Amino acid sequence: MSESKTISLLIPPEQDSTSQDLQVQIQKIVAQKGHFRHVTEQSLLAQIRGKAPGSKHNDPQGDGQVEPEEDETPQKRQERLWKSREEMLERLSYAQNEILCALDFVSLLISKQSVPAQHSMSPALKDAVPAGTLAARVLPAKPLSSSVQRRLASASQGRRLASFRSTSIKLSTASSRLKIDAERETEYWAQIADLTASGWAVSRLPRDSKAIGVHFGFPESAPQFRDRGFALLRQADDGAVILDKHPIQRKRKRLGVYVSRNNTKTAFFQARTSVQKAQPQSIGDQLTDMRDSLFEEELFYEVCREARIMANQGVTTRADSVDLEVTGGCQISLVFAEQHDSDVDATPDSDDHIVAEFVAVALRLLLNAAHQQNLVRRSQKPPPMTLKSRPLPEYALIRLILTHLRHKAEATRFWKSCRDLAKPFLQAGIQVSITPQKSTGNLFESLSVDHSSTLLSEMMLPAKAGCKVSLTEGRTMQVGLATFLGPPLYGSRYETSPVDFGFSHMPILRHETEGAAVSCIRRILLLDLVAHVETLVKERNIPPESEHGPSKHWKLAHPHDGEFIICESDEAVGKMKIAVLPESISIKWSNTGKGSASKYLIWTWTARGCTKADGTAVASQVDTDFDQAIDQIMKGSL
Amino acid sequence: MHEFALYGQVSRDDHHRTLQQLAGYTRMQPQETVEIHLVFKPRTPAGLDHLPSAGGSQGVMQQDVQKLKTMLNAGLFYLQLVGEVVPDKPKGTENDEDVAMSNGDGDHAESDRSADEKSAVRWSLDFKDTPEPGKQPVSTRLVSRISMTDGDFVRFLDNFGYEYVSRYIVVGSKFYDHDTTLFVHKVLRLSQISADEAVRDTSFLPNITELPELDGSGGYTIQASIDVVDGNNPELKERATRQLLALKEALKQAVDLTPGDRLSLDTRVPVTSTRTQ
Amino acid sequence: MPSTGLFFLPIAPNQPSPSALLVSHISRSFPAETLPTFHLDHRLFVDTSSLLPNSDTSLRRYTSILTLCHSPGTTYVGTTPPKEKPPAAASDPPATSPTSTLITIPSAHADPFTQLIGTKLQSHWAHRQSLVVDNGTALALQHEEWIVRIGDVRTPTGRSGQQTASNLRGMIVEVSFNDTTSVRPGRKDSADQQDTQHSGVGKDDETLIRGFLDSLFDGTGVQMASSRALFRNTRSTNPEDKDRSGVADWDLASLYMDMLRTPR
Repeated sequence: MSESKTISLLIPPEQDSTSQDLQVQIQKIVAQKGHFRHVTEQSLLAQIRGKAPGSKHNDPQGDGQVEPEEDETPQKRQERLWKSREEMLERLSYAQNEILCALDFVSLLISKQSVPAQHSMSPALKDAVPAGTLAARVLPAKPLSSSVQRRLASASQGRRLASFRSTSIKLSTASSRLKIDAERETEYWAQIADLTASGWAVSRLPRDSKAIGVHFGFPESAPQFRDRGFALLRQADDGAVILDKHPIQRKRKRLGVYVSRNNTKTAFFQARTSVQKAQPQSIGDQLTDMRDSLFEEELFYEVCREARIMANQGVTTRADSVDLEVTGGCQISLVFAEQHDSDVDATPDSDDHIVAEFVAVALRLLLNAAHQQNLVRRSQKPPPMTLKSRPLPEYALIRLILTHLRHKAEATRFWKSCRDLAKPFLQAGIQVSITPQKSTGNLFESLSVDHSSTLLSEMMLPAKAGCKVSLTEGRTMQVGLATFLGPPLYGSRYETSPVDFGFSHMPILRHETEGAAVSCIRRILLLDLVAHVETLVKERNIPPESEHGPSKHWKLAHPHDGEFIICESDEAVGKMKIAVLPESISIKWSNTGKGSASKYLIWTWTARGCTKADGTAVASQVDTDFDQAIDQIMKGSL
Repeated sequence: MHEFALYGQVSRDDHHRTLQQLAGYTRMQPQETVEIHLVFKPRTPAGLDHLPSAGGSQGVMQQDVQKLKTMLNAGLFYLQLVGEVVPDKPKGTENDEDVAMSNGDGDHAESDRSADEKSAVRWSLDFKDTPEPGKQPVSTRLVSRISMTDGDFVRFLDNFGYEYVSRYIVVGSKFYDHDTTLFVHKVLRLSQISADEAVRDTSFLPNITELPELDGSGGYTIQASIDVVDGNNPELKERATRQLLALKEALKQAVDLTPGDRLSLDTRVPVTSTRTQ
Repeated sequence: MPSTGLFFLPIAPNQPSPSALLVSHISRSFPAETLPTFHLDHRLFVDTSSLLPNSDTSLRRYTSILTLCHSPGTTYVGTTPPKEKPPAAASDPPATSPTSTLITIPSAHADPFTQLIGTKLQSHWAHRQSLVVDNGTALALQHEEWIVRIGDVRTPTGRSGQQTASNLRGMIVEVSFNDTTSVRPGRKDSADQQDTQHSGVGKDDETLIRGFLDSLFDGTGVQMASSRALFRNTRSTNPEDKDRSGVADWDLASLYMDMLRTPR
C-alpha cells in the first residue's frame, strides 16, 4: 500500500550515454557510420529515404538531447548553446589549420612543375624552404607473389583462429565461473533460509549492508552479553555458510552443580552437553553451541554478581565457583569450568542428586525469568532522567534457590521437633495433634513482596509452610513458617495464630528461630493441658464439696507454670505441677500439708510409654493415660 | 521536572509501517495507550481588578504590594486533568493493528479486542509550560504531573480557581527506548458534557474506533520525549539532547523529528484587555 | 468510628514546650504503649488577591497540603470554597469555617505540587506558612481504645536542621477515642458527604475527651484551658489497618487543616 509513496518520480540523468563533448560525438558517428570522407551525398539521401539501418541509432541520441532540454531553464540552455558554439569554432579553426597545412604541403610538392603552386604556399613555408625542393614520383604497384599472398592469408587466418579460440576459452571459463557462483549463492541462501526456518533470526547489519549476521543471543540479557549474541555469516569457497571465526574460538565452559555434605561431594549435575564431534558440525549445531555457552557464561556472571551482595548470607565467591552454604554441613557449589569431575560419593538413599538437578534447572529457568522481567520493565514508562545512573539490579537467582533449600531444611527440622512434641500426647491419650497444612491461613498477611507476573512468579514469593495444631476441646491454632532472604525477613520466621485459653490469651506471635517456635508451641501445649486439667478439676470439684462441707478443693494457681494447688480451708495442702518437656510430659504431685510426711508422685509420658514414680518406687504403667492419672491423683488427694 | 521533546508527523498510510519500524528499533511491542484529557481554564484572579494604581494617593507603592502585583501578573496557564485508561488485562485495549516484529519470536497478532469492561482510569493533574524560547535543537519545557488518587477532583479544581472547559481523548502507541518515550498518537473528539460527568464517563471506551478524529486525514503525531528531573542541570540537559538527536538520526529514514513550534505549544491563557478598561 | 479531639496550645516566643514533660508523665503514670512516631507536614496557601491591602480578608480562601503520619504515602490537598456572602458574625470561627474540598495525592508528589503552586500558579495562590511536627510521640492506652499524639509544631528549620526555640509555634495534642462498644450509624467516607461534618461528636464525647485529657495531664501543671480545640468523628486509626497505606481519612485531614489554618 505504501510502495507507491516510496518510488521517486525523478529519473536520474544518465550522463555517460549523452555526453555533450563534440569529440566524443564525432567519434561515435565515425564508429557507427564510418569515416566522414565516405559520406557522400548519395548515401545521405539514401539514408533519408529510410533504407538505412543507421537511422535507428540516431534516434536515442536525439531523444537524449531533447529530453534534458525540456527540463532546462532558458538561461542554462543559452549557456549551453554558447559553449557549444565556442567549441565548434575552436574545432573549425583547427580544421582550417589542418587544411592550410595540407595546402602548404601539396603546394610545395608541385611547386617544381607549377608556378601558381608557388603562390599558394604560405609565406612562412616560403621562408623556410625554397620552392621546388620537393618532388614526387609515381611508383608502379608491384604485385605480390602468390606464395607470399598465401602466406599472408594463412597467417591472418591463423591469427584470427587463435583469437577466436582464446575468446571461446575465456567465455567458457566465464560461464563456468558464473555457474559455480550461482551454485554458491544458491547454496548460501538456501542455508540461510534453512537457518531462518529453524528459528534463528537472520538480519543484515545496519552499517554494512552486504554483511549478514545471525542473532543467537538473548535479546534481554545485560548489554555486554546481548551484543555478543550476534555472529556474521560468511561464505565459504563452496558456498556453505560459515560463522565468523572470532566467536567460535571461545572455550566452552559450563556450570555444574555439586552437592556436598561434610566436605564430601555427594551429587553432581550439569546441563546436557553436546558431544564434541571431530567432524565439522552443522551451522545450526554450532549456533546452538554458541548460544548455550553464552548463556552459561551469562548465568555464571549473574550468579557471581548476585553472590557478591549475598556474601553475608553464607555465599562464597571464588574465581570459577560460587559456594552456597545451605545448612550446617550441606553445601552447594556452582562450578564454572570446561571439564567437570563427575566422580561423587553418592549415597544411595539420599536425594542429593535431585537437589543438584533442581538447582541446575532452576538457575537456568530463573535467568530466563529475569530476562522476561527485563522486557516487562523496559515496556514501562522510564522514570525521569537523573544524574545518578540506574544500574541493572542483580537478578534473583541463588537467593530464591537458597530460600527454597533452606526453607525445606528448616521445615524438615521443625516438623521433626513437632512430631517429637506430639508423641507423648498420643501416648497419654490426649487429643492433641499436629498436622501439616498446605496453606498458612491468615498468617504472614503482612508479608507481601512485589513481583511481576512472570513464568516463575510462584518461586519469587517467600516460601511458606504451615501446620495446624489441634488442641483439646476444639481449640486449634496454626503455625506458619516463611523463608525469604530479602527484606523484610532475611531468613526464616515463624508465626503462630492467636489462641484463647480463658485464663490466658496468646496473641499472634512471631518467632525468629525454630527453637523459639518449638518452645512457644510447647508453652501453648502446656497451657492447653492446664486448661484441660482445669475442666477436669471443675467437673470433679463439685461432689466433694457437698460431702465435706468447706473442705478440700483444687484450684489453678499458676497457669503458666502448670501449677494447681489443693486447698483445705484456704490453706494449700498439696500441689500438682504439669510440665511439657521436649520429649515428654509429666505430672508431679506433692503434698505440702503440715503433719503428714511429704509425698511425691510423678507421672511421666514419653513417646514409648508411661512411668509412675511414687516416692522412690518407679513403675511402668503402659496403659494409664493422662485423664486417668489426674483422676487417681485427685481421688488420692481429696 | 522538564520535558525534552521532538515532534514529527506520520500520515495514515505510513502509520503501520512506522509502528513496525519503531517496534523493531525499540525491540518491543507497542504499548497501547488511551488518555482522556479534561481541559481546565483558570479564572482571572479577582485581585487584578483591585490593584492600587501607582499614581494614587499612596504615592509610591509599597514594596509588598509591588510584589503582589508581580505575582498576580505572572501569567495564567491552562491545566489538564489527564486520565490514563488502565487496561484490565495486560493487552486489554489493543487496537486492531498488529505490529509484530517480522523476524522475531514475538509475532503473535493481538487482534482479539476483548470486550472492554469497566476500565479503571488513573487521573493526574498535568501542567505543561510553554517551551523555552530561542532556537534549540530540541523543545524544552517545564512539566509537572501530579497523580490524584482520590477525592472530587472537579470540585477541588473549581475551588482551586480552575473551571472545566472541554474534553478530548488521545489514543496511540507508546514505545520506550532507554529514557525516551516514543508516542505515536492522534486526537479523537468527545461529545462535550458537564465536568462531573466527564470525570466518570468511560462509556465511549469500548467503541473507541468510532469516535471522530480531530485531524480528518487520519494522520498521527509522533512525540519523542525524555523527562528530566532538573532540566536546568547542564549535564542532564546535554544528555537528554544528545539522546534525542541520536534517535532523530537513527529514525531519519522513517520519520522527520523536529523541535515543536513554540507558539502552537503555548499553554498560557491569552491576556484579555478587560481589566485595563 | 472514633471521636477525635484536637488541641492546639500556643507557646509564646522563647518559651519551652511542655511536650517532653507530658510524654514522660503519661508514660510513667499510665500503662501506655508507644506507637510509631507522630509527624505531619502542613503547607498553607492563601489566594493571592486577598493579600492586597484593600481586600476583604474575611473572604480569604485557603489551600492546604497536608501529610499525616496516620495514612503514610498519602498527602491531602484541600481548598476552601469561595465565600459568597460576608459572615454574619465572628462569634465562633471554627464552627463557621468553610468545608474544604479534599483530594489525595501520593506523598511523593507533595513537593512538586508545592513548587508548581509557588511558581506557575502564583497569580492564584501565595505561600503563607509551613508548619511541621517532626518527632512527635504517639501513645496507645487501654488496648488502643485511646490514642494520644503529642507533638511540637514548628516552622520548618530549613537545611541546617537545628531546632531552636524561635521556630516553635505551639504544641498539638490529638486525642482519639476509639469507642468499640457503642455502635453509631455508619457514615460514608466519601468526600461528597462532607456537608454533614461536625455532626456525630456529641457533647458527651467532647466532655469525655476533655476529661480524659485532663486526667492524663493531671499533676503536670499544664493547662489546656487556653488551647483551641476542635472535635470530629474520624475514621478508625487502628494500627492494624496501617499497612493498607493510602487509605484516606478525610475527616481527620479536615480536622487538622481547620486547626493548622489559623495557628495563632
